[in-house]
Amino acid sequence: MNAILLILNLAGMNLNASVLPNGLSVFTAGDHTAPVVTICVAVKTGATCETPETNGLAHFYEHMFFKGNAALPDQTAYNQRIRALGIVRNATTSREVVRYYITLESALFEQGMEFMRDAMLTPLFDQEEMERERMVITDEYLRNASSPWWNLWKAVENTVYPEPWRGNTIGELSVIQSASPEVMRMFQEKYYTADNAALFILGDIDEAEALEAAREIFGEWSAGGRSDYDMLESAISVEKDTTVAVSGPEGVGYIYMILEGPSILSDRRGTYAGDVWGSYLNLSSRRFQRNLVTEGPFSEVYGGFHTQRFSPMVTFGGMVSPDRIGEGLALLEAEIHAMGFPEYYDAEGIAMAAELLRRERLLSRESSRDLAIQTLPFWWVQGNGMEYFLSYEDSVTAMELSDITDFVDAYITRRPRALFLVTPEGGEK
Amino acid sequence: MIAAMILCAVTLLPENVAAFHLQNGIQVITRTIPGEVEGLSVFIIGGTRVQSPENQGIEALALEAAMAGGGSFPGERWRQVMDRTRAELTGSYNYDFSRLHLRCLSEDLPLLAGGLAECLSLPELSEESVERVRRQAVSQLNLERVDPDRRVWLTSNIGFMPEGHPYLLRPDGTIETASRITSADMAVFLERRIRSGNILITHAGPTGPDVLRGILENTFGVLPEGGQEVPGVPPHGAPRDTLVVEEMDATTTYVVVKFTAPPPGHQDQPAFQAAMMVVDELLWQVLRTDHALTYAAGAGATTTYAENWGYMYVTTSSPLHACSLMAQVLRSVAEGDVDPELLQGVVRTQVTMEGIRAQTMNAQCSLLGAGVIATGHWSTLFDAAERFGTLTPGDLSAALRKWADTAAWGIVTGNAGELDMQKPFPLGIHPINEEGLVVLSGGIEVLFPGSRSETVVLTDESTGHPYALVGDRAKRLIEEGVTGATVLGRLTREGWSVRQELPRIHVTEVRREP
Repeated sequence: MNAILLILNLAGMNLNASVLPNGLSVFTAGDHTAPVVTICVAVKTGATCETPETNGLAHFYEHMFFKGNAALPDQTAYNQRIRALGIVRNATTSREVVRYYITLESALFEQGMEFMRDAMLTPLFDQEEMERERMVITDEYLRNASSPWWNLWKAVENTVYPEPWRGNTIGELSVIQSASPEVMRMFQEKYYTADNAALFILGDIDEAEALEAAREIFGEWSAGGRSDYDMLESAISVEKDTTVAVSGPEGVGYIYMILEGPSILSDRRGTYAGDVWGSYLNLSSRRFQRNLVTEGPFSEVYGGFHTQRFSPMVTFGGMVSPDRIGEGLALLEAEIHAMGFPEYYDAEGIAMAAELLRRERLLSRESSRDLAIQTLPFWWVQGNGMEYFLSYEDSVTAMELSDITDFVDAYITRRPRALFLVTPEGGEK
Repeated sequence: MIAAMILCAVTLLPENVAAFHLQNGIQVITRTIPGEVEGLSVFIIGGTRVQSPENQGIEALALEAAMAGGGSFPGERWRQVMDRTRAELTGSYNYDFSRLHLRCLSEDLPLLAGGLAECLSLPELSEESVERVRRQAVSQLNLERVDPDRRVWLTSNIGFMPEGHPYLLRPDGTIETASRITSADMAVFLERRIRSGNILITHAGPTGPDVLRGILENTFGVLPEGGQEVPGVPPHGAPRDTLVVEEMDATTTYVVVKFTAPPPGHQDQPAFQAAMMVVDELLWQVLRTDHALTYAAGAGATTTYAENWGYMYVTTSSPLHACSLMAQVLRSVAEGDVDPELLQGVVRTQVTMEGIRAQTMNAQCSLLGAGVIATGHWSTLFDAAERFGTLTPGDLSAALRKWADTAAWGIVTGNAGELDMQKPFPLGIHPINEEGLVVLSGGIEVLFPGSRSETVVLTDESTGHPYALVGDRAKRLIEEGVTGATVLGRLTREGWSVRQELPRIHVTEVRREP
């Protein structure tokens, strides 16, 4: 039986961490609020791993998870098994991670684990099922294209991603239309291996028994060693000031600004400072919100650091009526200029901003399901393990005013930015 | 006074639920759940039923503006408090009630509950906060206007709800009303609405009932007494199948179809809800798995509105084919083609869903409060899985046959000119003519003749479905000794039949007597 290697204290909750011999990271935690358990597998892949020829395949692969496998020959059998176990399930593909998760009664835990293993390890990629799924994904693509924000998303991809496909999760229709079982298998061999994934089991379980079940059921997953994920280069680059006019809905104006942010792997201190800085900006009692929203033209505004492994961003964004977009931009620029000076901040506010990040973590513990499918997989990917996340609280609390101004100086004041102005007139204005 | 603990006789009902009233009469339902996070919901009962076409959205605007500060928590101080605690205060607004929900850490509950009560009872309604809320509302309404996925639900309402129905009013208002309503209007409205008789409070979290009572008595317990009579809701449901098509900038087609569903507390409600969950499963199987017509297909039933509806939803590039299959799926369930495995799956899934909801205080507060408002009982929304477990496939079919009558289709598409669907698909459960009348033809049987239970039943020869005939004309069929007929009438919830599960037809005409 595997020993639990480490018991990590997650804001008072015991999170047991282990790595199986095949390299699979396993995290378990008990939550006996309700007789259900959530099982999530996170795989380090996504649009950021794609090329122009494979753009959209990480997402296509995610769809094929819900199809036939060695134990369940087709999607109909798969659907029946889901009903038999009362499974509530979903999956998401983002730029930097793909997550698959189910919740079911804890009494059916082992069956749920076997269900996940079969889908993860033995997908059939049946040609007929792929043909049908091609049409399904096309409808998903068309739904996305109907969103009022579609033009903005496309503009961002094409402006801040030198390789735009790395920012485009849904992918290109031409790639979706031509995807074959062979390329699915290539994806599987490269990324769907135990050493490139993590398993999260949280809920009404005994942690040690859950780990033993993980070892027995997922122990056969091959280690792989073929993923290039950890060697990928940064996906974004903003080398010069750029302004893009984007066509948007009637009556709606939106200002969005992106700058390159610090990487967890190369400037960890910068990321902590970035989070405290963002938390400060979103205090409704401080000047950023007061000048722009409470007494200004924005209906809402935010500024913050968006932690991403390959596309860390400092972003500002806010909704403003189209006829006041010039005024809004001028006020935002004035705030950005002012936040480079120490006088912009007060000590109480900085302490409050750090404390808010701690409280945010306490609040995130409310639902073990949310922890299993969102918080923990996100940080496992971003931090290349859990160490970053677990030392987070002490690190943000240690941030001082000089850390904040250093951050602003390094990543905002003297850095080029990509500015997107969404108005009904778009490029015509 | 010690709160009276309600002990749960049914195993699936949550434990540690208590109910009490504050000194001004506000009812409080609380569920004690260990942890660090508290949820506190304030329900203001009335929704669009106490609004008009001219002021629709006023409650949402006024409550959002009120939450910016008031009493001894004026804007600047209240913002400090909210910042320091990292509490979340959110509003949701619907046809029957508004709900303000506070999510915070346990240590902050007394302070935040006090602040929230003062914001509501002594709202500052500063010019800045009113204008900010107005800007937010108008922005969201502008976005909704161009978002086909949100728009299509409103499009289907046009055919589904009769003119003047309170559910046709928008809880979030319209761009026109949101632009026009003044802070003075809001103040007058809040003065009338923030009264103990209009308010219900629910709580979930670690704070026990006695401590909670102490916190709330000093805050919400001093809100003014009184309340407002909330008008009833007329039934909705189109007299005939309808199709409303809206063209907008969209690259695929969005479809919603609505039909009537049992009101809260009605004996048919569990069966109808379970039937719609089966329909949901089948839509996934038929439209997505078998025919690959859609990425998004779903079905369900509302359960807590004063008047409910069932619905099916799909996005597709082939609306004609998709809608035809949607109608077929519904019909197949109504006609009794329900695999027991599907029903078992629905029960199991519901158990899982209830477990997931038990993990968040917000969901617990919502379920407790919506249950009380819908039926008077907090437990109403907690025992669905248990109720489903007693149902047979036949119960599901009978509930659909009884309630799902005419179909109100709403379609939003990028090119209405090329839409391949020109008229509404009948759900086909009840045969309906051009005038919207149900037309039934078949043998007539009188159950318990001459007794107080006397009921006329016609079994329609085209579908094999039995109907109870009510009204004076139905009685005359008995007097005339008719054993077979073609009758016309309207579906009704009036009248009575000894077979409660049958849909009732108020007979208006007997056209042919074979």
